[in-house]
Amino acid sequence: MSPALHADVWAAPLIVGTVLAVGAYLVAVLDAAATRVVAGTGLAPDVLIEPLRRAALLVVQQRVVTERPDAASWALAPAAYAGLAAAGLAVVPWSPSFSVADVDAGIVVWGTVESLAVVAVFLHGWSPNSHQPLMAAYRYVAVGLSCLLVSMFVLIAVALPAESLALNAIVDAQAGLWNVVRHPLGLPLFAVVALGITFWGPMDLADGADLSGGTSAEASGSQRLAWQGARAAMLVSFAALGSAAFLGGWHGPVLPGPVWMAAKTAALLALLVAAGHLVARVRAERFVTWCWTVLLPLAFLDLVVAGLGALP
Amino acid sequence: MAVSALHRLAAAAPVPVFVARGAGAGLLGGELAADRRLRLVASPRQATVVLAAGHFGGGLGPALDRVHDQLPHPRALVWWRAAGGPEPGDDRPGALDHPAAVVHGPGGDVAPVLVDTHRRLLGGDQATAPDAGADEPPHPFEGRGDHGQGGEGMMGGVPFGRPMAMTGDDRDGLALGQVSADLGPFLVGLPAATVARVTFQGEVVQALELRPQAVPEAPVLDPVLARFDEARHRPVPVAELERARARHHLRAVAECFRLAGLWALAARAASLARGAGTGVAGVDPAAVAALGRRLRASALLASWSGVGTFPGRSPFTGGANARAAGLAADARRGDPAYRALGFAMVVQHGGDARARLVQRLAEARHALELASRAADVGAVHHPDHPLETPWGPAPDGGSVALEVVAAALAGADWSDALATLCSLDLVPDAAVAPAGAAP
Amino acid sequence: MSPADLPVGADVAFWVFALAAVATGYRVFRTDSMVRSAFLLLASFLNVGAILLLLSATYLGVALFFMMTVEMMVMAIFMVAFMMNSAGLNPMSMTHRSGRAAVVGWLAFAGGAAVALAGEFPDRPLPPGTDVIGTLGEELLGDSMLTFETAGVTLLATMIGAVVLSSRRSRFGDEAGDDASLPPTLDPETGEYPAGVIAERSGGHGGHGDHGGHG
Repeated sequence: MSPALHADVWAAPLIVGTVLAVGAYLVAVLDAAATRVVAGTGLAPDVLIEPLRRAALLVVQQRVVTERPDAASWALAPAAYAGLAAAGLAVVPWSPSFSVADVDAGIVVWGTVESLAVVAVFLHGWSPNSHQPLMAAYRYVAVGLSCLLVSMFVLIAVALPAESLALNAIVDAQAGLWNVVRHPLGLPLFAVVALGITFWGPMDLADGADLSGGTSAEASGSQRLAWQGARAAMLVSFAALGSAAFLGGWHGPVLPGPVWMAAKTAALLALLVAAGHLVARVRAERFVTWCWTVLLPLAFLDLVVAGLGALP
Repeated sequence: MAVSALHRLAAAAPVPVFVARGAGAGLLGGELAADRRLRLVASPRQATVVLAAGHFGGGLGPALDRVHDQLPHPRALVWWRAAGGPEPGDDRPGALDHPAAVVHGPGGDVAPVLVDTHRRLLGGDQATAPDAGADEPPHPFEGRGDHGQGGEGMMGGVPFGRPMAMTGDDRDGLALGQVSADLGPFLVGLPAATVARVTFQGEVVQALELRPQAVPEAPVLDPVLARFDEARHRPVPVAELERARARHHLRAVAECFRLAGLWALAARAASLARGAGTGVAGVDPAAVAALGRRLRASALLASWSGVGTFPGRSPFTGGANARAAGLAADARRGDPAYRALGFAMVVQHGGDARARLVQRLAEARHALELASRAADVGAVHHPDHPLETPWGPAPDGGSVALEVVAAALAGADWSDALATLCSLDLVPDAAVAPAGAAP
Repeated sequence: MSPADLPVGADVAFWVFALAAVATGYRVFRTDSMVRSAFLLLASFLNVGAILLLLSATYLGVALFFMMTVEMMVMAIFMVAFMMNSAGLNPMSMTHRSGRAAVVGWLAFAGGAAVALAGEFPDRPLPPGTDVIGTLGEELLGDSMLTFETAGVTLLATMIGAVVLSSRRSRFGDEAGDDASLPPTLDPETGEYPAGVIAERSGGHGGHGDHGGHG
């Protein structure tokens, strides 16, 4: 059975696109607000328009081209990253009766999204034919692949109580008890994975300041705008997945399902964005070691806990 | 019209500024992070305005031209220079020949000039700066070579006259390719006006060479540098000395925060530094203590612990770097003015980047406390008493040869090497090329 | 559902993916950069995975995407690590021993074509409502559990063994991993010299060895 689409063919991209656009704007506003609060420069209403101003500046700015880049890959990378974010968001259910694409292997789709996302970041660093972006790209791949493994175990653990790989079923199974309570290790591990795949904040090894902006070191103008937008979109998709898989999705009293989903997604987004301003960037080597020696066993433990819980 | 509306929106955005520090500029420019209208960026490709602070003689002129040309259009250069002093190079036209604006002297207020330049650029009142150098590849393509070079064969040959990265000595048992690159001199974390020639194997530094680019006797723009220079020849109030010291250490901490990706905390440190430098009352030491608590919570200390140790005996004999390694040496102990104020030495143990950060914050806080006490008493430092600059005891500054530092960093990851260099805050004088040496 | 009942879109999609898989596969050997060739190979596999999706093997198709992506990513990383060659600045040819390879390639094509044309493929459309993933799971963890579990553990042991056997003493230390990246001591008493020597850049190719694989 090919994946069933509950929405019309034209409505699907429109819905996903709108959610991602609004979400990306929200991420930018949260980022600006967090910066102001932590820096002590004071929160002001112009934090709402600042992302639009910065986007306007990027639109107006020249798109610099380096010497003999791989132009196709360089342009493809942000498009691919945003497309993967859209694909990931499409399998997340918004209400008991609505999800853009109800795929019965939703968790595996997310595995694909994450691994292709690592490829997209690598391409973004490799294409400009410049040294520091290249270093940032393959430094990031080590971190990305390590996070991928942890993510797979964490997501499989979430699938166990639902006895299905489909996200719809996973949300349905949280009717009585949210997964964040059922397996408490899951959400913290997932937060680390989300930060890792979106290379945000403490895991910003792909676009870090120690490599002059990493994979974005040579990006300016529309290229940069596309990449920042794609990153924000991926963060939104991860927050949506986290809400569906751990925070009970559309379950909640009084308000309709989609509103609860949106609220939980926004809460996770705020948490992830705040982490970016309060936690310093990790060292790649130390993080990879820690991921394989500490996080992976914890993910196994999470899986065991989930399995034991799903037994009777 | 849509285009002008977009430009008007863009003109109101926080100005992305790339700070290029020349000689005599110390750690100037970092304090701009505290200004909400500006945004310090890590790469010149993100900036619309490049702030050239200091003196750009020697190898710094061509480097500034290269960085200037990397900015995307519309772009402009603002030159913040010391009043007087030799011109960088009258016979060589460069980016400094047609700056959009010039700010003179350490007291100049740069932020409004930057904002105004950006607004005029995007409003069309200021033309975008043309390229300062020729738009040619440094190694033009040489075509087919005698040995099958130029795109043929399994190895691809040697196009453009550049040798292909070859494999080097093994690391972890793998023979990986090595690439040599020149990084700097305006990179965050590197010592002032220094180019790092690095041989990379992956991300690991196989060999590092730090080459100073500044000419000696460059005019001093940084007020901190100027203040401590002045203290060697004339009596200076202790309060001002200590405030300058606190300002410098806070700026150094802000640089470390920027390197670690904590932009907002860097802005906070920068605002504290600015407060320490201006105003009669200065800044409250409690605010610095609060920053220290934030630092602990930011996991920066965990991230940088164990990084940047010097095996064996620490090569530093004085200054904050020595005190961070446990060496209790401070020239202020020998100054009766300080003893009267109740000067107490601050020492850390560990000698790694983490210890140096903690040391700088602790010294900044202690300096502010001393400054407030000295302001009440009116203490003065006399030039015949020993002077402790933020980099070590005057006159030699407790400096360490760059070669020693560079050799110790071989085998480290590049990000660790940068973290080490940033936390060391090496003496500006050590970064000056000896007279007559080629950059 | 007989083939005549399938929508035209499925047929069109099949041909698009099939042709794209062949075209990208061809480009793997005609491109001039190893990283591009690795990702073109990935693109070819992604197209095959898409065809699997068309055949209703949802889990297999998506799992193919996932696995091939990680494999090609690691391959590209190793290519970059060994050759530090960025996007096409050093173009190189992807083929070795073209004559012999061409013969083998034609033979393989002939064999594959013979199987495709003369073979009897089963025509068993899935009944609607089949729980594909559940059936697959029961097969993997039921009758075939011994096969898959021993294969998995053997693969893991092989990978770990290969890494352990191949890592050896480096310039910077005795063992692989963290120790190998620590800088040597500067202490003159022990006689170890600092490693701050810039590697000699020779003009020749000197001992590159075999690339293996897709090099």
